[in-house]
Amino acid sequence: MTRSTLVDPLEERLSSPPHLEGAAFTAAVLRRLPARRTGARTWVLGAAAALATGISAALLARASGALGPALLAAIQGSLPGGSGVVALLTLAAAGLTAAVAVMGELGDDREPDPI
Amino acid sequence: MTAPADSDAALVGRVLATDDRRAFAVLVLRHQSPIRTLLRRLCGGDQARADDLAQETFLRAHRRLSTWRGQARFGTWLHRIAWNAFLSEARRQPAPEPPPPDPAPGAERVEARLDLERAFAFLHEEERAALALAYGQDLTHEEAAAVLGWPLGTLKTHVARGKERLRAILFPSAEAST
Repeated sequence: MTRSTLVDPLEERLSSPPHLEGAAFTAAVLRRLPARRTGARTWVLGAAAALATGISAALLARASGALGPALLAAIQGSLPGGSGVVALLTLAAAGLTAAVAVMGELGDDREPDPI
Repeated sequence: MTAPADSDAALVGRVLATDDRRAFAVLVLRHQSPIRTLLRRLCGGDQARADDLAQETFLRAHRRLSTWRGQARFGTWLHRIAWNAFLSEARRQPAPEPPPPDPAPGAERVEARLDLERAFAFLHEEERAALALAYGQDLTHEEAAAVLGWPLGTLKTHVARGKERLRAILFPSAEAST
């Protein structure tokens, strides 16, 4: 026995839309999009980098006050006739002093990073 | 579980994170056919106006991409934007008065028999919207009603009336014999 299926021609036409897909349409939409955000982003990143450089320079300037004499002593110690161990210890002490100075400037009460 | 790299959600994420234009182009390519068809039907076969509105739809979507939360399918969300774009344009430039419901068969109606989209111009706006969203759009009737902001029953009523009117335009001989 064959079963006849009644197809409603209107339903059929309504349910079979044309396939409208074109690169031209996509290109037209992309052309109308606003300028890329990277321009603004570059400016923001540049300003942040400049600010960070300034802060670092200010901190290191204070640290270098302790670092300078220590480096001088280390160089003198490493010269012929000087003590190599003393030169190394002096250099390590200078590095430690500089690090403590920088940490002191930064402090421990920084805001957590907002996520 | 993570979404596949080419899923709508993943593409939207790339657009939001890095303004990835290629990802947006894929979204436009993927969804343009149903959106353009919807708008052609809403515009009664006016292809230029429909494509302008379709472009506007994607531009609005790009601007508001961060508001898509993934609760509705991306396609359904786009349909809502398209419907709103159509409504706001229709408010600015009201469409010409719909033709009388059952005029004598004129040249325009003969043309419309050949072209389903143009036949939509003879329907009332609610019937047009109901049929355009309920058929050929991969939306359930519930989703179509949600896009329009109507109760489901209202959608079904307009679908039935619209189909009756379209049938009379597209298949007048069959209509006369019943």
